[in-house]
Amino acid sequence: MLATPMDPPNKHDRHAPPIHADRLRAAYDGTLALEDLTFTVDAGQRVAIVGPNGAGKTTLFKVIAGILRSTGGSLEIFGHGPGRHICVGYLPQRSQVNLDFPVTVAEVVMMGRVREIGLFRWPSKSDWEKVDSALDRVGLASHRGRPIRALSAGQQQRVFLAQAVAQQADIVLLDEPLTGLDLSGQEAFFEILDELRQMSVTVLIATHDLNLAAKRFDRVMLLNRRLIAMGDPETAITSDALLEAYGGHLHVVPDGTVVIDTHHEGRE
Amino acid sequence: MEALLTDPLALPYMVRGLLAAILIGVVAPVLGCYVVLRGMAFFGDALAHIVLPGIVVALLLGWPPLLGALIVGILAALVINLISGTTSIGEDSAIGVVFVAAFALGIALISLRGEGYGEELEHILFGDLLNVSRADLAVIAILTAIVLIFIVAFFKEFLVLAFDRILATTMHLPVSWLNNLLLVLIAVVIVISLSAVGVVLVLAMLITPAAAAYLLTQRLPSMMVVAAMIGVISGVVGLYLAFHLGVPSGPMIVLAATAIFGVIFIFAPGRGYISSRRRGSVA
Repeated sequence: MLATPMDPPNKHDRHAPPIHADRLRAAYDGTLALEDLTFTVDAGQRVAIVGPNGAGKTTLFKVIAGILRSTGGSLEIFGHGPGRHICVGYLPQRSQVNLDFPVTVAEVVMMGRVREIGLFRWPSKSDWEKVDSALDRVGLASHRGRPIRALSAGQQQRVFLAQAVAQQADIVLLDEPLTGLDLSGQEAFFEILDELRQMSVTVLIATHDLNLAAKRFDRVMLLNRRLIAMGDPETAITSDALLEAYGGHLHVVPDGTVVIDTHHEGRE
Repeated sequence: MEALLTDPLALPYMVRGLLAAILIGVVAPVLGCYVVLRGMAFFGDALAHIVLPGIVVALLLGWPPLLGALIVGILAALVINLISGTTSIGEDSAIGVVFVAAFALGIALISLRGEGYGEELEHILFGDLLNVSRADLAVIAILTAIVLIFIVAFFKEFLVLAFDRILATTMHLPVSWLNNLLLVLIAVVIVISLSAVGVVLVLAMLITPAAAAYLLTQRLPSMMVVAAMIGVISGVVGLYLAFHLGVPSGPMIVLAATAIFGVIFIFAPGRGYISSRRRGSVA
């Protein structure tokens, strides 16, 4: 137990897609949460994962991040099984981090580099330069020395994005990152996502917001334990697919507007 | 007045007590910062009580009590971690079941020893810095150095683990290994703090200075430094009070630390009671 195997991280097969799932199954708390998912995500794509509460969005992220083991099928990250990848950045729903913790913004971003730096070493000058440039990208360079709790919700969200940038993540998983952001906060957020795309970072975002999914993403995945549809927003978001994903929670108002009743947008 | 401070220093046992108070005053609050930030106060308290039968068995076998406490403390830390990871009854219940049982066993063992257990029990329960032997002091110094070296060596990993466990898991840090290491370090610190404050009050050395420091600081390193300062001041002041009043050192040290916490809790800028109330009334 006391021998510390810090396995070397998996190397990437650069020709393999960032994420490829084949009949992937996963259970969460003993119940089947994902059933036979088969899909591929290409480098630099921005994918919205949409579905009702309990659809398995968070479970899917945990499997990709290597936190939860799949129970069947296969999942490959750049051609290798999940786990032992340090190229995946995962930002869970905000509620899971203690934001009253005594750390500065720069220290939070540096946390993304801890694995890369390795045991018994301190951050070097170039590590701090990477932190500063990541903070620059999200427009928070002037906040580097401030305590994380002093920032607004939107700014904190950007700090965690900077952390993923400093981690040099090739895949970033964002679970409901837009909850609680106002319009300008959302705008700032998508500007950063545009920068990530230029760095050909693949971004998967779980969201309840169908409008946003249709407007701001390359691909949409409709999920309700099973993969219901995946493709361009125009082809994936059809009334049949929505009905299948949301079932009784879907209402069509006479003028053609679709209303989804998602009572509480809490955790899955 | 000055004689009250300098006269006791002529006594070797007082000097040893002071050195022990300073060492414990540094190491317990520094590690205590993680106990406070990770909300492990109940775990720390339980571990302190669990150590009791280890001490008694060591005394029965004629071993050094510190050794018995160390073995039981480390084992208990690992067992609690195992139980809470494998059952669904919840960590606090698992800890609760184990710790009262161990404490009861310890009391029963002491009572079985028969005559003269009262004084010994008092030393174990409430601490007795004026009875620290040269060997005790050497052990305390060595263990303090080891714990501090581990805290520095794994600083950035412990920081990530305390702040964002999911990030630590995603980056594939050796999370369960680091977690066990932290629990073992807490067990070690509890054992070396026993001679100062005893089983019942050891939690105060871990929690009180660190909680006070939390109210004053914005970064973990400064929180650790301030916590250590508060720990040393309470240790030294408490020991002098115990010496002059003829009472056990443990309660005096804890009261000194609590007094400092009280002042900081009321007056701390930003997060103290007064500032919070002011902010509250403005908003």
